[in-house]
Amino acid sequence: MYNIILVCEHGASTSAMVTKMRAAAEQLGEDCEINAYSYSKMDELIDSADIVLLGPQVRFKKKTFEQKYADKNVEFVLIDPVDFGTMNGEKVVKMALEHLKQ
Amino acid sequence: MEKLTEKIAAVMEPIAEKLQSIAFLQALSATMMMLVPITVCGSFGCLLAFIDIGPWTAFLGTHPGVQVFFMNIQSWTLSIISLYTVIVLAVLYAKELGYKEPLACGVIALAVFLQITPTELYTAIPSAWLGHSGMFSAMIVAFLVVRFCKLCDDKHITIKMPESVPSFVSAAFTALIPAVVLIFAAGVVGAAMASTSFGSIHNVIYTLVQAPFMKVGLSFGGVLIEELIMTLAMFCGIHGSSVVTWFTPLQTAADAENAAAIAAGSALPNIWGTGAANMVQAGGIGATLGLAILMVIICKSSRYKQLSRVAIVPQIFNIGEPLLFGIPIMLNPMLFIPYIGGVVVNFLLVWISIATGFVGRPNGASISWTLPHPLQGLLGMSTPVTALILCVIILVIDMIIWYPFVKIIDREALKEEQAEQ
Repeated sequence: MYNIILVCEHGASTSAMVTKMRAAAEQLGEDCEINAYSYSKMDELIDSADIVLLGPQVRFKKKTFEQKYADKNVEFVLIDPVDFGTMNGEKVVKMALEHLKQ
Repeated sequence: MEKLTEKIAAVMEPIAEKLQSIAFLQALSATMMMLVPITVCGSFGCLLAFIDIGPWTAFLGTHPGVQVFFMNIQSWTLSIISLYTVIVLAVLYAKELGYKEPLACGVIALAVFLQITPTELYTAIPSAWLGHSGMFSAMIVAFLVVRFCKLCDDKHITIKMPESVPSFVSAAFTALIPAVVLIFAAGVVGAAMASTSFGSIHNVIYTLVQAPFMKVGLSFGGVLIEELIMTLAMFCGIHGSSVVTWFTPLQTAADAENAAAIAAGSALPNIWGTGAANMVQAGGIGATLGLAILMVIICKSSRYKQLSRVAIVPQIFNIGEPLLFGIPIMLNPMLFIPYIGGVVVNFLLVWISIATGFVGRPNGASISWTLPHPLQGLLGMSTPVTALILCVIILVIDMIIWYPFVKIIDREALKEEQAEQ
């Protein structure tokens, strides 16, 4: 099972995304745990995460996180702005799974 | 225009990154977020104790115990907000800096803060400096305490324990030297200041730093600049809150001042506060609620029709990202005008309405930003009815501002869709 974590400023807009992604994952028959948080919680989240997806509005955190958690073997991936805006859960889940299965 | 938006983005992104890498600002905004339960309870205590609704006021008049009950809630939350701030900020800042005993910093910071507060020996701590007036003191104390502890640790100025001592025992000694130095030094400062005309270091900080900073920051120009920066960041696709962390303590202090004034029955000092801020940003930063409603009503292209249906529900709870990234508004030169213009118009409407007295000043309640727009006015301002009317006016005006632009993008999308068929 994969633990997919989404982060943005407050974990609000990403939580709207999470609902769509869970439905999409279920349809794809993938066993995923998907949750959204504020990026300020990253210290507590990083150890259990398999992949971290960043909302486009907090893209400036990507570099910081990659440096800070360089030893953690977790990939930080930006969500495509258009997929995020249109709340395309299926595309984002597929994108995350592709990264995870690489 | 296209060049301009690119330039803005080129300026904004590094600024956001820079501000985000300042550990103290990070800790400060995390502190304010962590204290939301406290400020919300305090706000509602204040609201319920003093809200001017005929039957409720009459009920409180005949049941003074009930009013005291709510006042108590306010007094142990909002009225001593600086005590909470000094502890939490020190802990979170120490964590940001990677100091190994963050809790120790919280405790020391509290001790230092109280040490410089004028008290009646063994009997009472007057709350004068524990509320909004001590806000900047709390920030400065937390900063200095954490920095000093970290410095001692970095320079290995600690009591060395033999290897065999269990780590939880030796941990208690890590912060011992800085604690002794800081608390005694604070005692000296407290005693020294007591003999001056200021009376306390809190008063010095308040008079020389907090008051001027609040005066400028909470003025018409100060707030307009803050709202513009926040909205510009959002336009560049960067979350607006991350670039205005410096403003949060000002707004929190403004809220606390207004709430205290309501409790004291005096005139409200600040035009600006959370209630006003949330009315301006109708539908979250960028004020896109009017746009979302408009799109649901008038869009004919399937692209925007679908998008508006996805976007409208989060938008009601002030989450604007679907429209920001979905249309997209982000870095879209044409939509720069309504996006920024809408916020400016809303700001002018709210400021002028409050300044002229049409809407009462913010009541200091820290309303959660996720509550739907009309509730922001209803709960956040001291005249609920006129504030609600203003909320509706804002929405209508935002819809009018967006109308021609939505027409254009919808017509283009419709043309594209027809061409594809």
